[in-house]
Amino acid sequence: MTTLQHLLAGFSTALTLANLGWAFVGVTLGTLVGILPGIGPALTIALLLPVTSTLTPDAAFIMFAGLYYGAMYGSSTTSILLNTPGESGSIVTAVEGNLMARQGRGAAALATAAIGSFVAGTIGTILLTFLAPLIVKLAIRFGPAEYFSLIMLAFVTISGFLGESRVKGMASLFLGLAIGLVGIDSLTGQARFTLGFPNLLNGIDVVIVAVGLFAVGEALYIASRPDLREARIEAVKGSLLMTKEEWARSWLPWLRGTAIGFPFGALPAGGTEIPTFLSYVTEKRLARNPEEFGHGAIEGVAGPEAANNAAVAGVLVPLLTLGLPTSATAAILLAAFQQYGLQPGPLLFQQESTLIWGLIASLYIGNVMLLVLNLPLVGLWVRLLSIPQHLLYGAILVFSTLGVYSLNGSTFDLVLLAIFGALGFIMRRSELPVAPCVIGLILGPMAEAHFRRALSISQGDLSVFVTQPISAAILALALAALVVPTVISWTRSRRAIA
Amino acid sequence: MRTARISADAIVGIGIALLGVAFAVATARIEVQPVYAKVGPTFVPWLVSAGLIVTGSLMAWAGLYGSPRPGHEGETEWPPVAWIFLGLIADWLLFKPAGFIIASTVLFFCVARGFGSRSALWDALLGAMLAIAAYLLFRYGLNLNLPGFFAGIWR
Repeated sequence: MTTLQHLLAGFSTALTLANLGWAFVGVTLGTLVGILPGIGPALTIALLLPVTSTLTPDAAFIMFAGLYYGAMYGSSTTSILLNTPGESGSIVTAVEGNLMARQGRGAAALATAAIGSFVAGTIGTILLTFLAPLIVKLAIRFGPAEYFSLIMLAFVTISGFLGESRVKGMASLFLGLAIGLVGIDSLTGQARFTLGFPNLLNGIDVVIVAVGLFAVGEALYIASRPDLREARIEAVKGSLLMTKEEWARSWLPWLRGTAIGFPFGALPAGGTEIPTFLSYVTEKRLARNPEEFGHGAIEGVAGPEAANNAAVAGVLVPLLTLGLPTSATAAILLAAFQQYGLQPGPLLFQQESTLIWGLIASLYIGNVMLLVLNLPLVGLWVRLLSIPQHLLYGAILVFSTLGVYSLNGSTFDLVLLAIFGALGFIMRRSELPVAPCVIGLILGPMAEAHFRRALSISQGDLSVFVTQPISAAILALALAALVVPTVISWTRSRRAIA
Repeated sequence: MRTARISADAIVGIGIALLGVAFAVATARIEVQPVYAKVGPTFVPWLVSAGLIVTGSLMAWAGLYGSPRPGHEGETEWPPVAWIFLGLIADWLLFKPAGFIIASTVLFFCVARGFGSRSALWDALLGAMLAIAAYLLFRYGLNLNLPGFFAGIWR
């Protein structure tokens, strides 16, 4: 079948009443958690995992995908009206969009964000549709050595070869890898690092770690910082129908934002944050009135908001075709696939093509739903922002304990939750990024399995990773990503001294 | 404030490095059957232990001797942190014996306290309402097995 035929078949899956319903639940929940500060898509999907085990995989993933897209739409609303980014991909919007809102142009900011998200999300989904089968064709020939090398590349890039502090990204990654080692070794049956607790034999569930780091850690951090507790909500002023001039100033940034965001998500280069910054800088450089930036320029909202949505679509490419998550949410999505006994990758496109293409088709539908849900109904969503913080976090923690307990029906997991909450708090305080930890936790055991499988095929010959051309090329890329930025910063500091 | 920031990074770095040492010690104790001697269950744990020690040490080093980052350090209040932990511990202790609803109400109350709410009665009431709603939804709507009131008096 051709890609278009697959996509049409996918639409026939996604357009059933039940699946439309699940898509709607997903986008609504996604918008909700995107708007509420302190709860994001990774956390929400993690909390839903124990509950959704009764759903069919089709329904569950259509809902999750809607949730992932929806959170990006919703968080822009929070950023613009509250000056608090709902998600890390909206940090730029929280600056420029909030400035627009303060000048009474909040409605235009919301509109350009929502329409830009729609444009970028749709183009991103189209790119995903046609790129994924190509990568699948390539990846079908990958063996354990290639997968191991790919994971190494992902490890290097997600721990922040472009980020502020690579040491901290690496430390976070190793923490995740260490947590992933706990439990029975899948290849030999040997128990590792269980400290004698039988509850640890099956390993530490990624849900507990994610909920601990995101929900409990975040609650502790916000509560401990009185300066973060108060925020001023701007009222939505102006017209949601953008003026001709606003359209004219928005459409190019939307397209440029998409062009920047999608590759960043698709190449394992680390999430939605960096492309938004790049887009912002690009728009500022290209703008006719760059002095407006920093005082509420519409291009500074249109570009980054398109970039983060395109990146979200991009992240799905390596996730679905290679089973390689490059953001925290994608890592949780991978855990969700595993819960159903599915392993994303080229084989999934062959064996579960209904599921995969139904999921991709539902992304188009979800985008349309989100545009409708977010633009005209924005006034409704805004009221969520006035929920007092103490009630919001009280509820988040109650649902967190509920979700974690229902994994195994064991209160032991509640102790783990508190421990990982403490870890999350410490990490937030010392600005250790959380995403590498979650990704390391889920990819670590996979990397180890691929590594040892590759070695058992080669009969213990370590050179297998560099003698096979694809694996060698990927490892070289990883090495370059590791070394080049260090060299650059080193020469720069040398030059600064000289 | 600056020095406090630097030493906080150093402490966390040292903590990570120590965790790496602990992992290394635990790795040394894993029994490896000779069949797997080459790349067995301890190979990756050794790498990860080393990674923790190296990155932790680097972070501690940067925290002690590196140029201070431009921080946005605000004051940290500790009582809210204590309140939330109290809530989590109470939740753990009460969950099975007293049931989900009571445990969650206590947790909700403590978290609200931690976030500076002073209307105790109101928080407890809202917490109880939320807990009951969640209980009914998950117990009967989604058929999840949650401990009821005082271990089975009411189910």
